[in-house]
Amino acid sequence: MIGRTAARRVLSLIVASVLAAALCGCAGGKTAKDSSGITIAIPQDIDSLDPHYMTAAGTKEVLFNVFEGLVKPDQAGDLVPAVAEDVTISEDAARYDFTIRKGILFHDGSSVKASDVKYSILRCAEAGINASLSAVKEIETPDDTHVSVILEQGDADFLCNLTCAIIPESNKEPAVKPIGTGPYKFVSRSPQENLIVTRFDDYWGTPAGIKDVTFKVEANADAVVMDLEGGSIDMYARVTSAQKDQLSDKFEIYTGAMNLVQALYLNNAYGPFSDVRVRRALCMLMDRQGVMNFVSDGEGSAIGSSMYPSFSKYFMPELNDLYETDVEAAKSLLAEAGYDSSSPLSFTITVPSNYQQHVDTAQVLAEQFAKGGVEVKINSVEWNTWLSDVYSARNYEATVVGVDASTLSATALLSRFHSKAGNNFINYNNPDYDKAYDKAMSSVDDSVRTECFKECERILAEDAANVYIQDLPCFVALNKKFTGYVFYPLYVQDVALLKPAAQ
Amino acid sequence: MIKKLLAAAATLAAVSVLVFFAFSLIPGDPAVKKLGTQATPEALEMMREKLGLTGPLPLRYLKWVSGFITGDPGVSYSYDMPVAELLGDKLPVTMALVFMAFVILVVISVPLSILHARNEGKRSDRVLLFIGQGIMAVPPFFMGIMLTWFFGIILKVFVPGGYVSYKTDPAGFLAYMFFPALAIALPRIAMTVKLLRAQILKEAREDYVRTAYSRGNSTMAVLYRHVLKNAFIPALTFLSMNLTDMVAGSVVIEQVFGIPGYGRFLLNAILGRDYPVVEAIVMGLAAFILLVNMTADILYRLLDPRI
Repeated sequence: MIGRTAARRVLSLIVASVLAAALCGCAGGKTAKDSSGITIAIPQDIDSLDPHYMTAAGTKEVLFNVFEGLVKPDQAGDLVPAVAEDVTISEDAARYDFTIRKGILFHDGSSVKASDVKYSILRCAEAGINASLSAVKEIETPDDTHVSVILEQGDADFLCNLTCAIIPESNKEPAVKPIGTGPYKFVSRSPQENLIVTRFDDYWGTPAGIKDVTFKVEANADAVVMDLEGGSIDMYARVTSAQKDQLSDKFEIYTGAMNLVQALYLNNAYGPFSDVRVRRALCMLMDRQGVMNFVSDGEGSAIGSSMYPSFSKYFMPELNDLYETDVEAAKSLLAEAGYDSSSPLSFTITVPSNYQQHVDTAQVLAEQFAKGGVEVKINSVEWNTWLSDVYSARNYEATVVGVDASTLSATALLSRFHSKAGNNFINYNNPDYDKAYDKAMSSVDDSVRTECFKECERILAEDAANVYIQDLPCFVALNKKFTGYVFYPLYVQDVALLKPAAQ
Repeated sequence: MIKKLLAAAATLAAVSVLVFFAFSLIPGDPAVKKLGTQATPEALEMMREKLGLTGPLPLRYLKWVSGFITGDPGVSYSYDMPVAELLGDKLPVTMALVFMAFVILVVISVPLSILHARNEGKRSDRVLLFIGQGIMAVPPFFMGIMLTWFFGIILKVFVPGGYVSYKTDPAGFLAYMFFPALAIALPRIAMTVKLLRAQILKEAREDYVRTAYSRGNSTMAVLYRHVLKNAFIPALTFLSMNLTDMVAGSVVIEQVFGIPGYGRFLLNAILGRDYPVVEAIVMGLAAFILLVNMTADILYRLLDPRI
C-alpha cells in the first residue's frame, strides 16, 4: 500500500541524520580537552565565594588555593606564616603582634595593608561562622605593616583562628569577584558547573606548578571512573575503594586519611546510654577490624578517642586497644545494667544517608551488637534532616558520623564535649572532663595544655563516651600526566604543589 | 479556550500552594545549611531574618506569589543571586536537551514507523518489533551509561563528562548534548514507532483509503494527505505526553552525563534547602506542561476540525 520509494527516502534520511550527528560528536570531542591545564572534579558545588561566609569543608579545601590568612596550615599540621611575615605572642597569650609580609600583593595588584587585615578579621568575626573569633577584643594598626590582635583573655591556641582569609577592603563584591593573596586567582565561576582559577604570577611564595585549574562540579559520583578514563577530568580526591580498583594504570592512586573521627556517637542523655556500663558493653561488642574490613577494605586507621592520627602531637594510639572484643564480658556488663534476653537493650541508629561509609558502618555494627543480644534499628535520613534532628535538636539515640576539625587545634575536636558547649550534640556531661578541658584553656604553657588535652582524650575513652571506630581512608586518583599530590591533616587540596610529570 | 486558560491558572495556583507549604513542613533549616554547624545562634537568627524565614507562613506565601507574578521569584539562598538570573542562565541547557531529544524522536520515529508499516509481516518488521521491545524495557539512565561506555570509552566519539558551556562553544555544546538527548529519546522512539505503526496500519485499512486509491491518487498522496493525517491524531497526544515526560527524564540524564541543567539545580536545591530555586523550577515545569497540553489541543483542531 505504501510505496517503495517512500520507504527508501525515509531510510536515507535516517542514515544521513545519524551520520551528521555522529560527525558533530567527533568534532565536539576533540575541543573538550586542553593539555596545558588540569581539571579537578569536586563532589559538590562551591557554597560561597566569599571566604568569610563559606562553611562547606568541600569549599574551603578548594579555595585554600585562592585565599590566605595571616598564617596557614602546612602539610605537617603546623601553622606557618602567610600574609604575615612573623608573629610575636605575648607571655599571657592575649596579644598577637604581626608584621605583614614585605611586598605581598592582592590578586588585583594592590598591596596588603594593615587596614585590610583589620577589616578582614572583623568582617570574619561579624559573619559569625567561626564563633572563636568573638574572643577578639581589639585590633591595633600602628602603621601599614603592623597589626596587633588583642584578645579578651589569653588563649595560646588562638593563632589557628587567624587562618581567616585576608581580603582587600576596597573590593565591594567579595562574593562575586573574590580577591585574595593565594597562589591562584579567581577567573570565573558557573553554578553547578565549574570554578576556574589561574596562577597568580606575583605570588609571594613558590609559584604554582600548573597554570590553569578548573574545578569541575561532579554531581554524579558514579560517573567518576568513566570521566577519568575518558579524560574530561584529571583528578578526583574522593575515589571509593571499589572505584580505585576499576581505574586503569593511567592513574596514580594516593592513599591518605580523611582526617575525621568516625564513631557511633551516643546520646549520653538517652536513658540506657547514661549508664557507663552500657556504653562500655557496646565498645566490647564492636569488632573494629571487622568494621574496617567491610567499610574501607581494611585501610582505615583505628582510633580510640576523639582524636585522629594526623594530629600526632595529641593522638594516643594506646587508647585504641582499651576495649578488646569480648562478647561474654559485654553480656555480663549489660546484665549488670539490667538488660538480658528477656528485656534486651534496643536502640535506633540514625545515620545520614548521603554518606555510604556511615550507612555501611551502622549495618555492620548492628550485626555485631546482635551477637550480644542488643537489638538495633537503623534509621537512614537525609543530611538536612540529620542536621536539624540529630545535630541541632539532639533528638536521637545513636548515630554514626565522622567529625572533622575546622582548625589546626585540639580544641576543634575536644571543645564540643564540655558540658557547656553549644555543639555538644552527644550531651556529654562529665565534671572531670570539664575540669581537664578548662585547665588546658587557662594555661599558656604548651606542654601543660598538651597534657590536659591528652587527659581529656583518656577520659572520653575510659568513660566510653562514644564507640570510637576509625579515621577513614581517602583515595585520590591523579592522572599520571601530573604528579605531586600531598595530603594535609585538614580538609585542604593544595593544587599549587601539583606539577606536570617529567616526560 | 478561555475556560482552558482559567483551568490552567487554577492548576498553577494549586501547584504554588503545594510546593510552598510542602517545603515549609519538611525538616531542615536553610540558615544552618548556609552558616554551618559552628555558627553562633545570633548569626543564625540574623540569617533567618535576612532570608525572610520569619513571620507567619500565609504572609510569606503571599509575598512570594506577588513577587513571582511581578517577575521576581526571589534570591537563591545558596548562590546569593537572583533566581531569575541564575535559572535564566541555565534555561538554554535543559531546553536544548529536551528539544534535541524531541527532534530526534520525531525525525527517527515518524519515517521508521512508515517503513515499519510498509513491511508489515515481513522479517524486517518482526526484527524491528523485537528490537523496539528491547529498547523500551531499558530505563533512560541505564541507556545513558551504555551510550557513554560504548561511544565515549570504546569508540571515543565524545569525552564522557566533557560538557562545554553553550556560551564558550555553542557547536561543542550541541555536539555534547547529542548522546544525552539520544539516551532520552531512544526508549520513546521505540514506543512511538509501535504506536504510530499500529495507527497507520489501522487507517490504511479504512474505506476512505480504498476510495482515495480508486480516485487515482498515488501511494504517496494517499499516505501523506490522508493516512498520516488521521494516524497522527492519537500520536499527537502521545508525543505531547512524551515532551513533558522528557523534561522529567532530563533530570536523571543530566546526572548521568554531568550536564548542569535544571535537573541538577532542582536536586541540589532540594538537598540544600534552597527554596526560592526549588519553587521557581517546579512552577516553571508546571507552566511548561500546561503550555504543551494547550498547544496539543490547538493542533488537534487543526488536524481534525470536528474536535
